[in-house]
Amino acid sequence: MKCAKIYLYLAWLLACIMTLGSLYVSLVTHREPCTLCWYQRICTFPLTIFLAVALYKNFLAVLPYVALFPLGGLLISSFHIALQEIPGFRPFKVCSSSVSCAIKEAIGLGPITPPMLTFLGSFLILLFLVLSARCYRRSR
Amino acid sequence: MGFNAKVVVTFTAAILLLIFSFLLFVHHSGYEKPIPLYTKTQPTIGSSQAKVHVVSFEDPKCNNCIVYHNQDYKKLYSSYIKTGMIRYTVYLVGELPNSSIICAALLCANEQSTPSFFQLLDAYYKNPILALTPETIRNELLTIAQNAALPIDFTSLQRCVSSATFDKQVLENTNYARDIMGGVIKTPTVFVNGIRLVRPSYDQLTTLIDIELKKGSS
Repeated sequence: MKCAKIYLYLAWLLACIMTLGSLYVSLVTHREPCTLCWYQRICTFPLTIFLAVALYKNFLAVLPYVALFPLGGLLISSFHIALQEIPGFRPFKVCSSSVSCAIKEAIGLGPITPPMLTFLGSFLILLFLVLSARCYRRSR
Repeated sequence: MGFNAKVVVTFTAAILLLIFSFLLFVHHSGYEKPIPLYTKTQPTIGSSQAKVHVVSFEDPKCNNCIVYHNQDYKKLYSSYIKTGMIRYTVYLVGELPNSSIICAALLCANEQSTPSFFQLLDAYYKNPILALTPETIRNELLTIAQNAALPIDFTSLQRCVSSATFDKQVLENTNYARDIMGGVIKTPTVFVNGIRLVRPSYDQLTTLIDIELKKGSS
């Protein structure tokens, strides 16, 4: 049970860092998020509440359902990366014309773009949730 | 020893919020010291008698620059530039992939006349180029210039765009921007009489402009 909670805590911590990082970029650097960035935020922000409640209430049975959020983040960020990296890849229109999803944003981390960070963060959160669920199942 | 989730979560949340608040406070408090900017060769509009000089560093492929130009610059133009209250300079930097090609092509319009440069810049930002090869980018920009019906010699523009006339200046602009921004180029960065505002909102920008205008008149 303890290892389940530790993995869940790590997933929550990562979700918090991603949420605050995203808010920081918006508030301080005044970047306008594109449509796909908003969808990725939708997959990340609620995790800070859901995972904290799961930890507080010791309600680990919720893990398989919560895992859908990072899974969504993973899929959307993959699509976003493909849109930015593969020339001519635009299977359908998702973004507004004012803030394009296809234009890469430099965030001071060299070639790393925001969707790449979301991809990495979502992947790690998903990994921690899977590990947490495994520990939880073993302990029952 | 057990893992007390409640204590750990509360403690972590408090620490994270503290760090976040501190960072917000640090980045939102006060203005930086003004720095001198070299703008002699850059496209500038507005009254040369104006007491306030606004210099905007823009990368034509950056999303925020597109939004900034289409919204904030337009309002600035009608309220401050057109009325002769400020002088406005655009510093084009080519940090993002392929943006140096667009910068060089835009500066070709400036070679002929500064109003044409600003007209072309308006037309470009209204319809930013997403093409990925230098040739298609140049062709798309020429099409934009043609559609905007700029009062310039189109053949000269075409010749300038296809040659590397302004590549050196774009590179110099980019290096200059990197130097004054401490190594990391953030666009749009706007300097009001040398005071830096990174990706400012329209309110932040006009607040500082108004302060500088008051200083200038007193």
